[in-house]
Amino acid sequence: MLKHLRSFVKFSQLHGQNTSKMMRTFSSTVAQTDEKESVGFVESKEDFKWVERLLPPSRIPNPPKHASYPTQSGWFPPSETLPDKPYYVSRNRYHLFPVTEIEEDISFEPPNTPEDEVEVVEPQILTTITNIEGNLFELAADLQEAVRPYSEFDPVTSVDEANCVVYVKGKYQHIIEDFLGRNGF
Amino acid sequence: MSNFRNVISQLPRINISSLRPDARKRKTKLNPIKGHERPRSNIKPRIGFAFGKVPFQKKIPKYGYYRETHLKRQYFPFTLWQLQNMIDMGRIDPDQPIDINAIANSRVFGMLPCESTYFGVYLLSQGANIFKAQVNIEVQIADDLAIAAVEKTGGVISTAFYDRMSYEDLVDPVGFFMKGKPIRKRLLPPQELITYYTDPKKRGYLSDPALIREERNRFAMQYGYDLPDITKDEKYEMLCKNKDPRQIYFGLSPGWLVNLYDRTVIKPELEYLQKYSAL
Repeated sequence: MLKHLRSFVKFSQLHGQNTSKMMRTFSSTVAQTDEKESVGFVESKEDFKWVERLLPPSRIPNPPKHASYPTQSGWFPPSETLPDKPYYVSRNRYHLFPVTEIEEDISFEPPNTPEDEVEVVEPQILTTITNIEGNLFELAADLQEAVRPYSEFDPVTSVDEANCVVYVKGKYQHIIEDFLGRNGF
Repeated sequence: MSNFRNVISQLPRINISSLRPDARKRKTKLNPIKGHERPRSNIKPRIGFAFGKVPFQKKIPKYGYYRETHLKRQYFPFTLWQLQNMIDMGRIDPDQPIDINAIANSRVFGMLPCESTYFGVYLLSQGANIFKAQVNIEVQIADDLAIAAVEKTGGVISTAFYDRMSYEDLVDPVGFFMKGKPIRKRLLPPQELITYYTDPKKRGYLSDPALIREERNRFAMQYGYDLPDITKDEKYEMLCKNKDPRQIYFGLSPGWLVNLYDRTVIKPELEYLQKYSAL
C-alpha cells in the first residue's frame, strides 16, 4: 500500500500537480472531532477492599492453631519440648520434613564424548535429609536402624559434613518422616 | 679446515624441533587412491537432499497428530486432599468464597497466566474420605463424588466458565491492574460447554437454582448422607455469595479502573459505559 502511494506521489510531482489534495483521498477515514468529551468519574476508597483480597501474599503463612493434631490431612507441628537427641532436624519453609528422594547421575564422562565410549551407569537412588544441626553421624546411625526392617540389604548411609546433609541409599521417605515425627522434630 | 670447525660450532644444533617445512612444498594433499590432485570444496547440497532418491521426510505420509492441540482446553487437577491440606496449613481462608484467584494466591500450583492452554481447575474426588472443611468453592469441572463430599460438610460448590483473557486476569490480577485498562466483561461459554454449565447436576452457574436444590437432595440420597440445612448456619451469608456470569472479580464491575498507587477504584459516569458494565 505504501509503495503504491510513493509511486503515485512521484508521478503527480513530475506532472506538477498538488500532491497534498491527492494524499487526502488515500488517508484514513476516521472522523476527527475537535471537542473532547469530558468523562465524569467517581473515585471510591471503600471499594478498594475488594481489590485487597485479590492481592497475593508475599510470605508463606504460618499454619493456624488447631484443636487437635494430626489435622485432617495428616499434618502435625514439631513438638514444643526439645527432643533428647544430640542432633536437631528443623522443618523447611513449608513446615514439612526436609526429606526428599533423588536420583543422582554419577557418570563422569565429559559432555561431548561419543556414545560408544560412554559407560552406561544407573543413577544413584538416594533419600536426602537436610536442615540438620548437631551430630550428623548419630543421625545416620539412628536412620540405619529405622530403615533396617524395611530394606533387603544392610542399609547404607553417607554423611556430608560441609553441607550438613545425610544420604540414605534407597527410597525411604515415608519411613524417615515417621521416624522424625515420632521423635518430635 | 679450522674455519670449517668454527663455522659449524656457531651454527644451531639440528633437531626435529629446529627444522621447518619447506615453503615451496605443495599445500594440497594428494589422494593416494585417485593418484592426482584436484581442487577440494566443502559445498554440500541442502539438508535432507538424497541425491535423486525420494528423501526420508517425504516417504512418510502426513497425518494430523497435532492438528487441534492449540485449541484444546486443560484444567489443573485439584484433589480434595490438596484442598484440605491448604486449609490446614493456612494457605486458603475457608471463611471467604474460594475461586481460582484464592487457589493461585496460595502458590501451591504454578498457575502462570502465560500458559496458554489452561482454563481453570478440575476438582477431583481423591481424599473425599478425609475431607471435613465447610467451604464455598467455585471450580471449572468437578467429579460427582467431589460435589457430594463438599455438600456433605455443609459447603457450596459451583462450576463456572472463564474465557482465556478473564482467566489470565483472575490468576494474575496485579499484572492486569498495572496495565491501566478497565476491567473486562467475562464471556459466556462456547457452544460445546453450554450444556455442561446449564446442568444442575454439575452445579453449573447458568442453571436454575431451584433445580440445584433438588439435585442436592438427590445426591444426599444417592451417596447416603444427611444433607445439612445451611440456612441455619452462621456462615450462610458467605456461602450464598456468588459472582454474576459476566463478572470476573468479586465486588468489582466491568468497566471500572483500579488505581493501585492511590488505593482507589475509579468508576466512570458515561451512559454508554454504564450500559456496558450493567450486570
